[in-house]
Amino acid sequence: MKFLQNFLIFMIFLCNSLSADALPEYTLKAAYLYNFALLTDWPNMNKADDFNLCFFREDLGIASNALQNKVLHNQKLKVLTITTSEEAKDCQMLFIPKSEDKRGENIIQKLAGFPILLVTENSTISDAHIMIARDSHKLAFDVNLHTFKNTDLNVSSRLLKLARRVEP
Amino acid sequence: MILFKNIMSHWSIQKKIIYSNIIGIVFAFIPVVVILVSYEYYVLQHAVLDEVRVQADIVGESSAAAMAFHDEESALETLSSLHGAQDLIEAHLILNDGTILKSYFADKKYHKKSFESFSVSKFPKEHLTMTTIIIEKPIFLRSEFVGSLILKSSLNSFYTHMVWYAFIVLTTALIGYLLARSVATRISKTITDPLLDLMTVTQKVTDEKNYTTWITTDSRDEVGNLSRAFGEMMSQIHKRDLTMQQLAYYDRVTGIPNRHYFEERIEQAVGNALRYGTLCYLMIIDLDDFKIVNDKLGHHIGDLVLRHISESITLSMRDNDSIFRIGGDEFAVIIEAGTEFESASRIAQKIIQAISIPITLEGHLVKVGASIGISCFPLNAHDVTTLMNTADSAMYIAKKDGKNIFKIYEQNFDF
Repeated sequence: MKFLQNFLIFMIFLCNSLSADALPEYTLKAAYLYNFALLTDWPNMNKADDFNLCFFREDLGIASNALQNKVLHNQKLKVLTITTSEEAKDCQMLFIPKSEDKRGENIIQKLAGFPILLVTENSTISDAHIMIARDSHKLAFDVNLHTFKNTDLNVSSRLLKLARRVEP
Repeated sequence: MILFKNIMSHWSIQKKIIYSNIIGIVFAFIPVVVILVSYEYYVLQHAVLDEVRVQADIVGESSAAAMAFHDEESALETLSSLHGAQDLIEAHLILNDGTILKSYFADKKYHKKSFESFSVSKFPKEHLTMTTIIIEKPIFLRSEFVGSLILKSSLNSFYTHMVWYAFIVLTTALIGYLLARSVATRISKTITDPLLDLMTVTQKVTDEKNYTTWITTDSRDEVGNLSRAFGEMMSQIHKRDLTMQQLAYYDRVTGIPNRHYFEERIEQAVGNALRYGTLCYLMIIDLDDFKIVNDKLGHHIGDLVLRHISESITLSMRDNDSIFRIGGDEFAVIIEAGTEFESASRIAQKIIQAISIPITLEGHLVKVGASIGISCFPLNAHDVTTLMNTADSAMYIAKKDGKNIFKIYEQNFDF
């Protein structure tokens, strides 16, 4: 019993130290993703469903885990990692990390027209809704309004106000 | 209250009226001023609080997204909208982890944060001190708590406004008080002036003993009634005095001055003669056989005779001479001012002649005579007593010498 107690305390410490070790940039990106979702409205949202925040092939590690089970638009947030476009169709939001640029471009083309908020880190992908970029020492983002219109997603003007650049 | 009464008992009515007005006005103004200032304090404090709340709402609302993205530039932009906000001291956007995203200071030189540690809360807090208002407003981005806005505003303009307001209210009250006091003084004068006039007249009447002093008043109030009542009283006193004087100084049968009057008048006549170095004659007239008339024909006829004789004597003397009835059948005449011995004798002779004419009264033929004694001051006497005595002596000699004659006093008349 004593051993179990000590083990639990050790595990808690371990978890804390691990979460403290999450890269600041990842934490910030996770927060950005959450806020993008917060400032976007989806058509025909069913409150009984979960809100699926998907990462293409590679998530943000501990930082993305922190988002797990948070509440967003009155829905429970689920963090998923997907690999195919078929899987992606259940997502409300899809993040394509920089390392998956090539495959990401493919999947974005397949998902065109679906109400899925597409966030990339590559400025060359033109059909994504939001592009996260590093601007000197901080993170910034660009918004593609055209894609928003095509996919029936509504973006809050407050998000546009904070964007580095808004593509009409 | 008794002390108050004692102090007030020494005051004039005008002072009492003015002070009672002043006290009334002051007591009326105190609640007005207190209520106005309290109400303004309450309303203004709420207005200031509301203004700071609105500022907090606007800034909080517009900085929510910036806080969610930790966007300092955008946060500063929203905080800059507070530029020009009256009384704002400082504003801070605090992230939900307690770190400051951005601070704004109204005074650019003053950058010392008054908050060292922040404990962000999802509930709004308001902290009101004597000099500042601190509002802590939680900021939500679509129901997601992203941090807090802390606004610190000074109450300087609130106090400045309150001081000015109190000053204006007190000045207005003071002006009102002065106006009311001036009006009260004027009104009190309309009450007290007739009283003062009445008092002056009363004093004059007391000093001069002149009850014919006229009191005029147009006033229809209590004081006017008092003045009229007072005038009426004085006129009655005057009438009573006249009656008493008539009774005291005049003979009821003949209507001519009596012995009492004579005694005062002879003193006066002797005094005048002494002062101006003139002569003063005293004529004592005693009726002969009057007792017989009284006994035979009764007192009624006797009185008529006396009246007739007093008229005869009056007709016989000059205007300046005075006649008195000094006894039952005795009259006196005072002849004054530079009278020659001859004219005194002539008057005596005329009187004797006038009296000796028989008269018919109620069917009775009545005949009386008169014996007259004359004395002169200062030729025959050195004072009133000797003047009267010598005149008396001369009259007795005339009576003794056969009646219906007059005698002028001589030294050898003394018994």
